[in-house]
Amino acid sequence: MRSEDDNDSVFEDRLREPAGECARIRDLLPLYVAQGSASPGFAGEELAEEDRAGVAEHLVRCADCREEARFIAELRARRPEPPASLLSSILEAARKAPGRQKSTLLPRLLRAAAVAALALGIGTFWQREPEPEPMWTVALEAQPAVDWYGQDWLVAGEPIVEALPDDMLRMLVEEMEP
Amino acid sequence: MSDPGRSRDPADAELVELAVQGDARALEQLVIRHQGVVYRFVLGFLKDEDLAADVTQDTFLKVLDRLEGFRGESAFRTWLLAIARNEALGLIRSRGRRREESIDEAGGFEDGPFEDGREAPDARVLEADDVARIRVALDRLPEKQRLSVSLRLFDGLSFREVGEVIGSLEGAARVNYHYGIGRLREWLQ
Ligand SMILES: [Zn+2]
Repeated sequence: MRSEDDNDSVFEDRLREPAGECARIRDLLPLYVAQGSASPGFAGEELAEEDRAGVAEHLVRCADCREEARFIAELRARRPEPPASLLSSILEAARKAPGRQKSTLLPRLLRAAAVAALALGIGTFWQREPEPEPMWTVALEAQPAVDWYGQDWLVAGEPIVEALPDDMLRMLVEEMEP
Repeated sequence: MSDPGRSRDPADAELVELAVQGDARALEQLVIRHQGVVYRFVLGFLKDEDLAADVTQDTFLKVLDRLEGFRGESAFRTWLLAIARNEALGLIRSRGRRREESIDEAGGFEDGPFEDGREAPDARVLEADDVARIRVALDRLPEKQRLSVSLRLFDGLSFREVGEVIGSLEGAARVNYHYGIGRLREWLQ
């Protein structure tokens, strides 16, 4: 059966899942190889010095972890990079974006209305129009109870009122009208 | 544990504040710092470089538009990636509708290893250069494995943050990462 994205050939995968000390080391290998490459733009976790030493020491005596370290370092060196033109393209588009200079009064009023609406517990009307079932709900695995992702005005279950799309804010305000 | 994405100076939150006040250099720094992770993340959904670049740009524009509302309750990068995810999935949905394709009929778009009609990697592709080989292999992974490998290996996110942005628990993100690496080793070594 291969209906679930993460669970096909689970048994085989279980065999591949490292155990014991190797498991702990392999969790850290991405950070270890990243530090070695000192690549620009790496804003990831830092590896603590004692962890770094622990990984180095383990690699001396574990051929399989050494092999994995070599492999993922190769992968990492060939990670996809955005086109060189992307930065200037984003910055230029940002300069031209109409919303950047707009008055903040109206958005603030809308926000206040939205906050009030949320506080009153009016929050379900935006589901009036049934959306087609999002495709990404069909391959769910165990996950946090709050189904927040995929709705970018919710982060970790907390509404970010400011992140509501404009049309949503409009609906919200209309909803508030008597 | 140090907060990822904030370990560098100046911190994201500081740059966001400056950018909101109209500091173009702060804005530029934010984009430089995060364009790579956003691009790789959406590439993991879209499997198309041009689309990934477009969606990365759209994501930043959307974020800039909402920057004032960012309150630092979550890490900036987590917030950014949540928006990126939404943009990517929105594009996939709208394209699916336009083409009247039902990619989600049976088992989601993970059902076949080569959804969107792509051929399995043949010998010709496998002889191509390493970058292309790796791209093909990554595209072949189930989505959550691909995203977990990308976020953890390419961008150094903690498993907790990986879980947050792919909608999994921390433990599941970790397992997905290891499964993904295991498969890639099998296919590429
Ligand atoms: Zn080992």
